[in-house]
Amino acid sequence: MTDPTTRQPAIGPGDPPDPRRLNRRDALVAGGGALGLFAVGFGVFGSKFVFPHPLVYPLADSATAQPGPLSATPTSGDDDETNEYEEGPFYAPNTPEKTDFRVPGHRGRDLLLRGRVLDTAGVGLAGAVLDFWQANEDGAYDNVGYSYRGHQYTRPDGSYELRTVVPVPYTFAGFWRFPHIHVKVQGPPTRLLTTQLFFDNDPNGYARNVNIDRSLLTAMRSGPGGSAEVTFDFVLPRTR
Amino acid sequence: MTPPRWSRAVVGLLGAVVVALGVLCFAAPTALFGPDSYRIPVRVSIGLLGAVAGGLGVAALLAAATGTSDTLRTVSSALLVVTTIAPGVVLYNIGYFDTVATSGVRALSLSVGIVLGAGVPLILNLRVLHRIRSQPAGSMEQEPALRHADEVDQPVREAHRS
Repeated sequence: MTDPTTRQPAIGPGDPPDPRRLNRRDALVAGGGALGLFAVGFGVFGSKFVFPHPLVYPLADSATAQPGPLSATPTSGDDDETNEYEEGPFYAPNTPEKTDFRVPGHRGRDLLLRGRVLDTAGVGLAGAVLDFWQANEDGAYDNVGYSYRGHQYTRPDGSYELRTVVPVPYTFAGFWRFPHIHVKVQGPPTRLLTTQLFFDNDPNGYARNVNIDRSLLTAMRSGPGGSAEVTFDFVLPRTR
Repeated sequence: MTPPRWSRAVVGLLGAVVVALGVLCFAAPTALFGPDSYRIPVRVSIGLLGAVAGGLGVAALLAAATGTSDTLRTVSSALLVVTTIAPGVVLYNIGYFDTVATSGVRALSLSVGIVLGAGVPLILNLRVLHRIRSQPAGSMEQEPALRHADEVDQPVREAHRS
């Protein structure tokens, strides 16, 4: 005698299909759902570029404009605003204040990056904050601590100076990345600028970079003891 | 109608993984989140993650062991919500998952694993459970609880007939 509690239903040719069986439509929906889940994931990732982290460092209430002689800025015209460039996935807010990223025993080539933060009238902005981050000499970002990350304020004449190492190329998600230094800049009376600086010491290298902004390509000079020097002025429009 | 065995297996397996995640949050947080997990603000988030993961995982295990198709459907929906959000969280913080190679491979692999290992089985599971739910009552085999009620009622109905 068959136990009625365990008896499976008999399905004849005219009966509807067993709803517990997977069919082709299920496979299509699952495939579409997987694509949707990937899309949501990458959408959240993309929100990082649409809504970048704000700077969390205190800025002076008013800018102390310091008129003075302007140095030539080969990468941007006198009144040209510095172009924005993508933030990338490795920004970390709330970095320590420092002007020297080099760590004892590093194997990179020393780099002195300096310049000024100016408004579009060419006036130096005192107390502007510059938040730099870059890969180390092995092409890796420190995503736990704050090596090769730090912020600083401009001097009264709007000048800044960063001692670090020359960044090297790296591969991100299979894509080759040209050596660069990331920076967020904001003067007390300006909006926030997020951009990257590139270097002309590897002509073959930047030729490989498909979307490089040449206005952000800086001229690298040789300095003492085999070091390198770069000068770059950031030009930001005033908002008040 | 009883849900298929693989449906219970999917929910039970994912429940076990989520419970394991919850236990690891307390027992070995450094294995998941590195030495940063000793920082107090991070410990709070990891502890909360462990608590939520533990609760959700136990619910999934219970549903897989004893639940009806409706219970499985509810737990599967909750797990699918987690599966929808988790890859975005991983990819948004892609740098954390690649502190050495800066390649994004670990974050991408983890996201692909979550979508294919949890998202796809859960979507299939929910489709089948939804079909079972929308079946007309009594058209096919019934839930164990309903069958039991029928068996209890059977002598009463026969007594009424006689």
